[in-house]
Order: sequence, then C-alpha cells, then structure tokens
Amino acid sequence: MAMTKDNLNLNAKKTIVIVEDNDMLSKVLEYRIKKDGFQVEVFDNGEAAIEYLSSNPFDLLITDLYMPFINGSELIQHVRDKISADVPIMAISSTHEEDIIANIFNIGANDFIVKPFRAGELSVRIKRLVK
Amino acid sequence: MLSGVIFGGRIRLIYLLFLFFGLTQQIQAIPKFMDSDCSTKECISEESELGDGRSMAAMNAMSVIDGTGEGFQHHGVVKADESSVTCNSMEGVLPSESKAYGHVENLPIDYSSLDYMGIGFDANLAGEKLFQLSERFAVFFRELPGEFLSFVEKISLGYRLLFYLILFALFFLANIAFVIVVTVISNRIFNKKEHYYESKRKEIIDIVSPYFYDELDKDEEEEILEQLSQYSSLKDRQIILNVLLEGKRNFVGESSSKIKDLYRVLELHKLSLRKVRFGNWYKRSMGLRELAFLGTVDFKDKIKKYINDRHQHVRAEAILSYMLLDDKNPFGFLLELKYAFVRWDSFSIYYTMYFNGIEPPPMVDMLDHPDREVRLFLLRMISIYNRLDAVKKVAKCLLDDDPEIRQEAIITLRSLEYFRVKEMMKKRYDEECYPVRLEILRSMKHFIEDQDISFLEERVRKGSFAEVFEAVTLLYRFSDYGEQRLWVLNKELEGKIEEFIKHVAEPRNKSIA
Repeated sequence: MAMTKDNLNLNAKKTIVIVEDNDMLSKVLEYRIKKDGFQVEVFDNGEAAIEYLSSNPFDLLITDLYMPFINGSELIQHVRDKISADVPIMAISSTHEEDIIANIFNIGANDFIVKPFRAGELSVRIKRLVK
Repeated sequence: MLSGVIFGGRIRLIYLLFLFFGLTQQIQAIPKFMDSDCSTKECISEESELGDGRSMAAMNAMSVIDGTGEGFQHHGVVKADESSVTCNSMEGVLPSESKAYGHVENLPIDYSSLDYMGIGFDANLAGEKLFQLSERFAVFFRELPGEFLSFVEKISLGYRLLFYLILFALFFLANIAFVIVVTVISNRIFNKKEHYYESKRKEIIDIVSPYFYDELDKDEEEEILEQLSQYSSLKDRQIILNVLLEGKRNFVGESSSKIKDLYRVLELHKLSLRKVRFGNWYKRSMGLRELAFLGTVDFKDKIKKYINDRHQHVRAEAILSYMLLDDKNPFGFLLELKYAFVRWDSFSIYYTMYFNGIEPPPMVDMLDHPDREVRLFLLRMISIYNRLDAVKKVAKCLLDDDPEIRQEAIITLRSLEYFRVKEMMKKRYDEECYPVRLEILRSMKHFIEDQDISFLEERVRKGSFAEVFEAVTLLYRFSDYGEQRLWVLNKELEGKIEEFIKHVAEPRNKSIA
C-alpha cells in the first residue's frame, strides 16, 4: 500500500510533494526545497496530487488546507487511508482556529505551519520531517 | 450552436410578436366591425324608417326577434337618431353599393304591402316575410366568419403595420447584434489583459522567488534587481507590486525584510503614492495598503492626512495602515480623528492587531477622548488586552454622562476583576438606566457577599422581570442561605417568584449564570 522510497529501498534524492494553489508560494517553496537538495513535485489542487501520490513514491507531503476540488484535510485523510500511514505530512494554512488545527493533527498530519511563516523555519521543519 | 439557439429564439420571439400583434388587431377589429355594420336589430329598425314596403317586413321581423311584438316601436324610438343618419346614407347607396347591408338589401320587398301600413295586419304575408328573413339570417351567420376573417386579414396585414413590425424586428435584431459584438470585444480585451497579467506575473515570480531567501550573494541579487528594473511600464510595475504584496502575506522575518527592500530599491512606493494621491477611493485604499505592508515608518506622515479622508473606506484603510507602520504608538491615529469613529473600524483594528501581533499602547490618557465611540473602543481594548494599568481611569467612566460608556465600563471592570467599585455601583443603582442596572447585577456574581443579600432582595421585590431573574439567580447560586431567603421572599410575594426559583434550580439551566 505505502509507496514510499524507504519501502522500495531506493537510494535517490528524496521527493517532496507540494500541493498549493497559490503559485507564488509554491514557486518559492519549490525553489527553496530544491536548493536544500530535494526533488520537488508541485500540484495546484488535491485531485491532481492524489493521482500522482497513488502511483509514485514520495517522502514528504506539504499541503495547503484551502484548495479547489479537494481541500487539504481531505487530501491528508485520503493519503492516510489509502496511500500511506507513515509518510510525513505537513499542512500549511493561514488559519488560527484551534479546532481546525487540532483536526489536522487528528487526521494524521505530522506538522502544521501557519502563514505567514519564516522561510528558514520551514526549511528546518522539512529537514526534520524527512529525516 | 449558441448563436443558433439565440437566433432561433429571437426568430421565434419575433414570430410570437407578429402573432400577438395580429391577435390584438383581430380583437380590436371585432368592435370596429360591429360598429361599422349595424347589428341585425338596428338594420331592421333602420329599414322600418324607410317608409316603403321594407318597413313592414322589418317591423314584422323586429316583433318576432323581440318576442314581444312591440320591437318596432321600441327600436324605432331608441335608435331614431342613429338610424335616421344611417338610413339616409343607405338610401343613397342602396341596393348595390352598400356591401355591409347586403343581407338586408336582397330581401324581396313587396311594395304593395304599403297598403297595410296602419290599416291591418296580414298574417300570411308576415309569416312569409319572417321565413324569408330567417333564411337570410342563416345565410348571414354562415357568411359572418368569412367576412370577419377577411376583414381582420385586411387590417392585420396592412402595409403600414407590416412596415412597423419589420422596423421593430430590425431594431430588435440590431440591438442584439450590438450587445453580442460589445460582449465579444470586451471579453477579448479582458482575456488579453488577463493573459498578459498572468504571463508577466509568472515571469516575475520566477525572477523574484530566489530573492526571498537570504542565501543569495550580491551578484545574484543585483542580477535579480536588474531583471526587475527592466519592467518599466506602470502595468508591469503594478504586477511586481502585487507579487511583493503576496509574498509579504506569506512570509515573515528575513524574507519579509527583503521584500520591503525590494519595494524601496525598485521605487515602487512612488507608484503607491501616486495611487494614493490621484486614484479613486479604491485605488487610494490599495495605495495605502501597499505603503503599510511594504513601506516603512517614514510614510506615516503621508498616510496621516487620509485618516480624515472624505471616503469611509479610505479612512478605514488609512487607520489600519497607520497602525501597521507605527507599532510603537498604533493608536496615535485616534488623536488625529476628525470624523466620527465607526464601530466597525474597531473590529478591523482589533483583527489587524491580532493577526499582525501588534500590542496596544497605554490607553489611559485617551479615555478622555471626546468621541464616545473611541472611548467605547478603548474600554473594549482594555478589557481584551487585560490592561490593569487603566483600572482607575475605567472606574471613573462609571460616572460618565453617556449610559453606554457606563455600561461598557462595568463590563470592563468585571473582566478586569476590579471589585472595589461594588459599593459605588450599588449606590448608583437606583439612578441608573435599565441596561446599566442589569450589568451591575451581572457583575455582582463575581463579588457577592453576605451584606449584598438585602440589596438583592430589594431587587427581587421591586425589579423588572430581567432584574428579578438576575437577582434570583445570584441569590440561589450564592449560598444555601440565599436560597432559603428566596423561598421566604416567595411567601412574602405570594408565590410570584416561584417560577423564577424553579427555573434557576433546574439542573439544565446551571450554565446560565
């Protein structure tokens, strides 16, 4: 079920999947993560991401919560239920609502970062999760 | 396909309009037709005026139609004027020219029957005439639809009407065509603009995104600046501005500072200031926002004068911008206010402070502000941010002339848990207005003591419904003694507060304090 690279024992660059509908933010994240030495796949909606995640191994999923078609919570739920129970997931959102944040952790996210955030902090968190 | 549907629809509509006009004309034609021709009775009564042999036949016929035998006299009198006119004209045209009277003209008239005028009544002749008449009537009614329809056809398909209808249809089609052309052209222009904007935005994002990190060396930074400075048109610079604003919303810290640097180095503030000076209210607001998010504290003075702009949205935006730029004294704008402070602005201010982590300044001195809305806002902010340094000044607000200020002051003091004002509030209770009295009672639950029981009992005896409810709740929740006093009071008041006590005692209502 889980198609992580650890399972497949691949010795390649780790892949980080970014699902973010704001192309500006996704571009900046992509630039940063690539610079940190990871391979990056970017999607602007949950539907396309699920299609990719179902058939490709990945090491970290970074997803926005509010997106068209399938939102971040649904995506996390789908990944946890049908793709991988272990692969780390980081959620990004501008929400401050405790209920939403708690729910994100309940459905299986490993980390949550609130917008606006420090780029350096995000980089550190990514590295920690991928390790 | 769409045009087919549209045009198909239009054609059907035009056809329906034609039909509608045709029907209208037909409906209008009926009374005309009836007016242009006499009714059967009138025709006959007219004939009776002719004074020849036809009059007898007509008289007979009229008698039969009326069923009274007196139709002749009756119609002869009532229709005298009309018939005389009509009959005169008939005399000139009979028998061949008047088509309208064809069915009457063709009656075989026996002139010898003149002899019967005023002398006698020949039943056989009358019967014969009646038979002939009834036959004629049958012919008339058989022919009537055909004549009517040909008449309607003549009117509804008259050239003039057709001309107007065609003209109307052409005008209608021209309008539709004009709307379609305008829509298509404006849509193309819009799409072109949007395409341009998107493509430029992507280009700029590609250039800018590395700049948001602090790991670039000087050469790389300069290269980025050089690339960005090539976008010289106002449109392109506005796109850069929008990208920077977007970046500012998503990043804090080092990236945020770099975005501000870029704004300054590229002199994009000039564009923002230009919008603030010369734009409409929306552009002015956007300009102010750009200055607040991307600018520095130096722009505070430029923003200040827009705090009293004549447009409310600009004022609100200026207030928020001022707060964002001056984090040391974010409420400094309150001293500049000339317009009334809108309550809605206080929410915006609160959320701006909350989401941007702005701490409120000391608000004690501003509690004397002449605008009551400002004073209310400050009282709420003191309560939210738990500013204990303002307690004494807030307590003074209990003596304010404005009841809403006094009410808000009680709420603030309650949230600050400042109970030294209890005696003062109790003394002023009877002088206070209803909402303030209720707030005093609600506050008492935090500092109720044994000596307050008599005060609360008085409220139970004399108070309004809400006051009694608050006082009963307080006494019941205070202690067992309070509850006992309530039952004693209930007896004294002949069971008037029993329902209140039961309501408060109900376990499901425990949460209602």
